Amino acid sequence: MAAEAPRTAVTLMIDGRGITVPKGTTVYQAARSAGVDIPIFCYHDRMPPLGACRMCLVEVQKMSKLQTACTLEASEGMVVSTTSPAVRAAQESMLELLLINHPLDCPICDKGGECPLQDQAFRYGPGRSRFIEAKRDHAKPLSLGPVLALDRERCILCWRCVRFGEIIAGDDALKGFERGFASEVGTPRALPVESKFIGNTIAICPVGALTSRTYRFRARPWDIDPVASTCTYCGVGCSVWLDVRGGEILRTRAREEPEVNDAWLCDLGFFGHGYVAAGDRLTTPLVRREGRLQEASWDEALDLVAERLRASAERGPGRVAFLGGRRLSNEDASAAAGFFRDVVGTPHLDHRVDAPPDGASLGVSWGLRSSLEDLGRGDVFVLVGCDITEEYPVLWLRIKAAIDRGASLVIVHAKRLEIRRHARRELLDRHDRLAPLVAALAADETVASGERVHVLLGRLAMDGPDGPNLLRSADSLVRRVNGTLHIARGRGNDFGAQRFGLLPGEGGMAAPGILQGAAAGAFDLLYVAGSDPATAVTDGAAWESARSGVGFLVVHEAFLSETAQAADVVLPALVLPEKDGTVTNLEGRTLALRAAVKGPGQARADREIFDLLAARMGVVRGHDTATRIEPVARIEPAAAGAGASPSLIVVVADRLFTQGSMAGRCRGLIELAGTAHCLIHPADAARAGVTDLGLVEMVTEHASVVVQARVSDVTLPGQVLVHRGYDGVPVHALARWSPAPAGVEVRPVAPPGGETP
Amino acid sequence: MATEAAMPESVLLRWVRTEGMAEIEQYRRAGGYDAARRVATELTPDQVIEMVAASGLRGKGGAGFPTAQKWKFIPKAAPVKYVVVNGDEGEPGTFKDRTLIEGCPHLLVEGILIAAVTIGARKVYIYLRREFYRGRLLLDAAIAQARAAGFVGERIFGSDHAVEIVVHPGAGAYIAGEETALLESLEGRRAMPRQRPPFPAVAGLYQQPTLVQNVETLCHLPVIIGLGPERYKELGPPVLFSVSGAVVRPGVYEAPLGVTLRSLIFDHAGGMRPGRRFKAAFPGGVSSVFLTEADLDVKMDPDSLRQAGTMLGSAAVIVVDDSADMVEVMARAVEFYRDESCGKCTPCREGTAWIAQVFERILHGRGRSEDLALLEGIAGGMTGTCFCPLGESVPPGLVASLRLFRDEYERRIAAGATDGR
Amino acid sequence: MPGLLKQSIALLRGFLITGRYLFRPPVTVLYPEVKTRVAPRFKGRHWLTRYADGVERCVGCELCVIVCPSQAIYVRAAENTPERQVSKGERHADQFQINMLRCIFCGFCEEACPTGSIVMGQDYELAGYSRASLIYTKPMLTEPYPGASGRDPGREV
Repeated sequence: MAAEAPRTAVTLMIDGRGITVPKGTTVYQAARSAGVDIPIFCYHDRMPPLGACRMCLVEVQKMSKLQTACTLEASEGMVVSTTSPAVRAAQESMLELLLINHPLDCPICDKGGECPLQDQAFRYGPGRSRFIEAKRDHAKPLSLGPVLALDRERCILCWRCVRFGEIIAGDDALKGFERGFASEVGTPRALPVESKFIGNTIAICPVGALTSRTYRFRARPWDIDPVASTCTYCGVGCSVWLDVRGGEILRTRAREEPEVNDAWLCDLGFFGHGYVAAGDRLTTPLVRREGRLQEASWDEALDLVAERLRASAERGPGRVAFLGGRRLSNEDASAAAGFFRDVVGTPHLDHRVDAPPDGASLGVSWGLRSSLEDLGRGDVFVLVGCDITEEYPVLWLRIKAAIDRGASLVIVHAKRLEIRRHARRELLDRHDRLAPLVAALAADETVASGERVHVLLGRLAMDGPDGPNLLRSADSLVRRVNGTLHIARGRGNDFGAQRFGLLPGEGGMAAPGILQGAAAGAFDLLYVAGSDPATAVTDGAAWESARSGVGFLVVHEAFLSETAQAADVVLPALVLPEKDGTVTNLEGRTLALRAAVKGPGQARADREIFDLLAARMGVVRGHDTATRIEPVARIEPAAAGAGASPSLIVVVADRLFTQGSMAGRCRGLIELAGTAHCLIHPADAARAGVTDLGLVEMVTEHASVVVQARVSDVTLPGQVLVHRGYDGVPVHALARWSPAPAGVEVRPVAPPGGETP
Repeated sequence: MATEAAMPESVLLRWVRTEGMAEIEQYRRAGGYDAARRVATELTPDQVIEMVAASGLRGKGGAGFPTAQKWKFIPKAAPVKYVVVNGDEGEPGTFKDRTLIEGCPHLLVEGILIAAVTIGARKVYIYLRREFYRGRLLLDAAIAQARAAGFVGERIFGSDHAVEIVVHPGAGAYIAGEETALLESLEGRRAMPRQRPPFPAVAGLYQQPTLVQNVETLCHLPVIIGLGPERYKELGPPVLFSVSGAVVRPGVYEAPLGVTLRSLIFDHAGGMRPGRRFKAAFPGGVSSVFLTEADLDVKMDPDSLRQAGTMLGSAAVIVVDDSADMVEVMARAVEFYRDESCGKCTPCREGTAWIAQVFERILHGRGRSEDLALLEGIAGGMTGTCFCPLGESVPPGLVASLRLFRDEYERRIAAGATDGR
Repeated sequence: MPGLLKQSIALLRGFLITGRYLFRPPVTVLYPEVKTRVAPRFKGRHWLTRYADGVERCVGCELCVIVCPSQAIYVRAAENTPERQVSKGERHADQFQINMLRCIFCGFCEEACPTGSIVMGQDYELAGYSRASLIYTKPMLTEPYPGASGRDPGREV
């Protein structure tokens, strides 16, 4: 026996072995730490114990009944048996009872081969059943939306998925219905499940009741080679397993990484791999001949680009500009920065393609100012213009956990966020009137009394009409309450691009400047990689005039994006899951990428393309020359836009599920994104004669788009919310870079057959 | 309902059986609210707890936990405390709470005030079974009258105490009568029992210290304060028995604790119906193991009944006569549990459904001789493995019926086998 | 010389055996003109069998894949649709290949099959002119009609 166990420790005997654990540890955890297996179904180590499945029953000396190991706190001198005849009998009983209504369709079931029920039935089950009655009968499978299939016959009602929605995600996506033996999980009237985290319920389901509709029947666990990699969508940088069979990524799973994503992923990550194997990937270089993009050899294309670069150099330095970086790896970004800075010799590089010139985004470096773990230890969270579940979903799970531990959430936004019921305070106003709300926050008792206040300033705030003021207010707020200001801005590997030098150098222009310069004829050649400025630039006209003002456009792309369609040379690029390397997440952590599959055709890594070009320019490059450049100094924010405020303004917001170039090619995500739509407040809808789900034309002084209208009080009176990221719906064209909010008129469009614009 | 004055003195039922007790003037004229006033203005909480302890009052909901002890578990210093009244009377054969609420809602309100003031709770929720529609109207009216009289709300009886009472109708689940499931339901979730510890006294409603108390238990409080614990104890202490089934006069009877089953059936409830013989009786609702003719002289108190292998529970005596088939009686009981199992834990959810399926087969002439062993086997698997007492109360009665009335099962199965051929 | 005598007797004995078999029917057959009959449980070429109603038995569970000691089987499953119900239940084999060059005819696949779909037939003439022709695909393996493999289509597993 441990004679000198600390006072906070208890020693108990499990199956004859003395185990010392901290006080408060459950018998199950104690057993597991000692390598003693106790079967479980309902218990999940990220949630408090429930004690429902009764599979973990153990015998404890001096206790009359068997006890559930998952709920029983270990105490000093406890003597536990996990293998006594009574325990064995109980385990057999529980498995027999669980299996009476569980169909034996393992050969068909997707979970077969990786199923805890299967494994435990083999290990602890009675081997035979006395059940001769009719089994529970349900229609199968029940589709609960584009990605989730529910087989109620297989469900053993462990409540893990229901509790995940209650405890971890806070979205109550799945609920229990009916009672007793008729209990089932699901959604009201089997409507599509509303969640951004439903993939996790598939992962934690201990049977094949919840399965992925995109992975359904596509492989068995023994077919799969899992590749440990990193998700590169939103910038949180969740660790994933990419499950590969026959050169195709069939599914993504969360890989445990307590410091980043813990054990979770969002659905964009779960179902966002389909674009890699899309049929319309670019496989050969394309060169514009006779006005059309035509297939070419690598040599031809690279020679042409090198020749143009040399020609520009002859006309003078700095007549080449580079845009992009979000979809590049750290290594690609570093190679691009080195190439343009040292070989081409231009300071005009920027990855912040979607930043407007007058917002607050260009003045600060993007990302968190603390680690995700530190953030999770906060006691007050202020989200200013940051729609966290749409922009950084897994970061929300960390904040939700903090809220459950007693932290407070304050929301400042122009939209009713879906997490609002977890907020202690919600301050709403129209997009152009947010600054006073932030200024008033210092007087908020919750914020003022916080010991570790984290303010997340999001894109909607920074790039909005009053961005610089909001940044200033938020900055002075955190100074007053001794908090931390995080710039929740950037996606993908924007943080790696920022870190490895894809920012303007000495005398260089930022992205809006590059575009304006290009329009004015300052550049001979514009080079784009890892970005699609044609859709990303928030001023539609800025890109168009830049394109027409520049002589030659080179684009690295995996797909024939809008930018690529306008290019003179398109070089087929590998996408991130096809590359070895690293990315940087929003807290600045370096995360490994592993090539899961080979790229299509002749596609090459961006870094390799820059090396080949450098060689043609007479420079052989290694990769140890990544120069770190400092982010540009904080610029003094401009005065707030004056002038009359329009009665109805348009706000372009981010959404998790979109139909962009990647997600728009993933089965399941396409359906989750649905059709492009705008959100209009009932009062404005009534005034404009707009009906829910009807088509409307949104007209600004610059452009008009036709989208579906959703009448909803998620938005506020006087503003129409529309989402970017739907290819073919050029919402970026609606507005111009301007510090003033963009007025909009919304009018219903007659159904097909009537007059259409 | 029987009105015969079987008892020489009834201290609880006299409130119910007197006309007009739903009106506050009538109730006060008969001495109502005097006890609550004393508690609010004269007695200290410790004195009240002392009186309740001396009375020996135990919870009347089924578990029979000593009331005073429960009160002592409530942390005195906690800033927010609740009293939750369990009025979700759902145990088959139990109707004493309904009788009390409909007969004299003020008695319950007064009991609530005594409990709330004593433990220092400012907010009281009455979780009322939704089917008690009339009771709810009467209770609402009684609370309104008490409020108008200054007994409910701020500064009750002119004291510094404040008690707010909210009536909350349930959604129709038997399991919501289990105190932690009731709290879940009250908080707006699916009624499923919670893991204990922590007990509600420490972390109950909204994780605050909560006293969950049965309607009848609270109704005893004014009587105890009014009569004094000694006098109360001399009366038995009194218990309300709900007697139903094959007796001449089913109804609620007040009798001293320890009255014999025989006396309850034959003296109070008028005996068996003409021409019928006593066969069995559940002493404490369907959850208790039934007693047979040999047990007729057992005393109806917790200890004697425990010795007889059963329990007093909610003191709901369901009498079965010789015209009843015990297989059908048990099948009906099991169906009830199957329908009312909350679905949380495996053995109760699956076990009750399986047993019900086997019973259905036996009743439809498709029984097999091995089914009796099967039933015992399923019951064995459920014993000691269920999350809450609902599932745990199925096996004892089933196993007892298989032991004591095995011939009836065997006859059924044999008859079925013959019919089948 | 006793040795010589002994050798002569041995020789005669030998001829005696030869003589005895001279008049019996031969064990060998004139393959390929004549073919031997194989034992009922002979493990020859595989068949994917059907139920009597023509529905395929294979549900694409891949148990044969995991059990195959020579990794000769490849299966890719797909979902049945109301319009195209290939097998019973929700799942069927969209692709099913057996590489006959790798197969060692151990019969584990037949044993592992939960629906009794894969059976080993009597056919042993499996030579081919190219490697590709010896990768048997699903159309080659599937019975053309129920019972074509020689197994009772109504059998229970």
